[in-house]
Amino acid sequence: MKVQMIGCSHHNTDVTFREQLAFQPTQVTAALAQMRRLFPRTEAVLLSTCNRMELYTAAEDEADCPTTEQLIAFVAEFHGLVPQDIAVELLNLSGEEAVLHLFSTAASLNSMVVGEAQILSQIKQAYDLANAGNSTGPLTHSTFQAALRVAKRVQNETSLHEKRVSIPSIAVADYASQFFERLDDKVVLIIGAGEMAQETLTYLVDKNVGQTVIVNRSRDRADQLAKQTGSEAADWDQLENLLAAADLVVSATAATDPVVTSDLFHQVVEKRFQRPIFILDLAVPRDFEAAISEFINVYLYSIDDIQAVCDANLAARQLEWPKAENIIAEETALFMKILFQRVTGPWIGRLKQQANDIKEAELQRLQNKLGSLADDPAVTKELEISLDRLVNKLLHPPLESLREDISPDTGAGLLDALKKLFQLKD
Amino acid sequence: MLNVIAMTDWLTRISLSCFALSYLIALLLEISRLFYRISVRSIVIFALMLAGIFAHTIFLWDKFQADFSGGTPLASWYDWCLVISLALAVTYTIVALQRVRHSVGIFFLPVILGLILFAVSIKGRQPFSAQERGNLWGMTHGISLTAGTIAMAIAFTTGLMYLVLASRLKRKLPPRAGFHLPSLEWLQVCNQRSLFLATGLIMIGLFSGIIINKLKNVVAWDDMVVVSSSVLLLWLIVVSVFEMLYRPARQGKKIAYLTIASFFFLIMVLCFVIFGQHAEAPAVTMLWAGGGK
Repeated sequence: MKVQMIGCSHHNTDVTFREQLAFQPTQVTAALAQMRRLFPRTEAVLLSTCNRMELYTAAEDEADCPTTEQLIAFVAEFHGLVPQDIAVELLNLSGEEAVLHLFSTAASLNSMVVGEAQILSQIKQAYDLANAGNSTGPLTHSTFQAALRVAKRVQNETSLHEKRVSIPSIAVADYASQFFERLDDKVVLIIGAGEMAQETLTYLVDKNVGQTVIVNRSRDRADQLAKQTGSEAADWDQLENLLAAADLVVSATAATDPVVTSDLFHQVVEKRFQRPIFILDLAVPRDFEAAISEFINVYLYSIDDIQAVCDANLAARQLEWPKAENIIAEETALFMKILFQRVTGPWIGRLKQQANDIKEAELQRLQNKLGSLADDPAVTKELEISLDRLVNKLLHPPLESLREDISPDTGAGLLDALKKLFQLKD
Repeated sequence: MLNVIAMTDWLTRISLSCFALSYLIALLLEISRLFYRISVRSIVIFALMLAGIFAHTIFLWDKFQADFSGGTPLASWYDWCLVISLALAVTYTIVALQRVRHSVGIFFLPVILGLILFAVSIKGRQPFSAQERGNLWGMTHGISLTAGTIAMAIAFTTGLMYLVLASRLKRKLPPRAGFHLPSLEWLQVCNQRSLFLATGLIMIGLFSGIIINKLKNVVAWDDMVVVSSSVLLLWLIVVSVFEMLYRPARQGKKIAYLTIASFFFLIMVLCFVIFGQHAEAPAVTMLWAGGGK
């Protein structure tokens, strides 16, 4: 039985290298189909995200599993690369190490942003895709299902995932939720159409925000983003009225001077009748003059205010790291034990069958020797019981030792010894 | 049969300290949110509140039964304080069930425990006059004032939470682990609605008191209780009208401040009634608690 992985991630390779080895979803399906043609008795799952490419393979019989070189050659050829060029950069793990790596990745310990939840769904998607292409089997099923379960356990038993670490996610989930009970009846004004504004808007759309209006100096950009996100775009000269109507403002322009001054906001405040407003100024330099936060019922947050939470959350996540590592180590050991039980199971069965065959032969021989005595069913029964007891007593100590010492490291040696001592054949 | 008797006997032995202790432990657990992460805390708090409410209800029911056999039930300030605290405990449990992660108990439970403590401190005071308690206007007067006090206590608690959260947000303090409050929007809505409800109920209570006094002339019109009650009513009407007509008052901290002021005003008036000289006179106690000569 063999489980192995070759791959690369942001930990050991740069983005240019990862781009060369990345698989698009359609390519994943094609690659897995090709794998099945080349190695029909090998199970495979291919995980490809922007931060990692990992190909997991497994086979009940080690001889059916491709070698590391064959896997490297497969990946290289799929992307039209030379195997030697990528071999040095690729990570190669097998057995317990490969399982530990998968569990850690699923629990987001290997992610760029530790604790982010996206990797778990990406692993699930990769597993589903392999399932759909019939590339999975008993080993990958149990390994990936265990990985998903371990990730959930880490999620439930540590606060590694609780603390958000990206500015837009903290702004929306940790702050906006303190102001608003619901967002589906709120008016959100997005000032600027850059990357930060877009990312924040994505979080807001996820939260089912009511009305979103995008205002940008370049109307085209605003229109474009509005189209992408199902929002509305407005002219820049409408800014004052839009501020008066908004409940939540996200500002992230590239302007070098404040876009909203205290004087302008004074007029806005008069129109708002002191209705509370939550302003997220995510621009550097800031879009809103700092003095605006002095107005009654105006809650103005700059990127620095949120960055502090971001840093604190990252530090808190680091504290949870050892707890998560312990869970993963414990689950990996347990999983390997179960996996090894699966390996030893058929051999134990074979040994018992062999012993039973000998017992049956000996019983037959004895019955022939005993002649008329063997006609008495009580005698036959007694003989059978005695031989059963003899076989069981002889097999019990070695099998018990195998069951107790079932870790893959020492257990494999015992299993080999058992095979040799009792001359067990495949 | 024996089991039923044993159970009944056990229930009659429930004392005030049983439910007060449940609420107190629930409060301590709520406070511990600020310092420790315990996975089953919310379930334990909920169980404690349910046990407390059960014991509280049984205690009041037993007292109600005992009072009924000897006269009229709920005929003292002690009883009414316990009824108000029970209503607040139920309200808190419902809110806590809907908002498991929020620390609303830190604000609700001290008010509940304060009311129980207050009830204990006035336990020895004379109950209301027996002949007059069944009067319709007297009942309206007593019930509406009690319900008004409950609504005002809820308005006070949510107003206080609003001010704490608004202050934290204005000072840009990061969210604190274990101290999550409901959103400003929810607190403002609860605060406003409770204030309007309290104003309406107290208005009914005071008008029914005026009717009792007009019919039976139990107390002088320039009595401290009458004057302070009228000023309280006027204040609540002004606050409500101000909030309805002046748009900025509907938003943010103003309404929370006004609610807290209203609550203390109400407490002051109740203190006049309970501890003032007039409270000793049967006529005045009846005006507040359901009667008039």
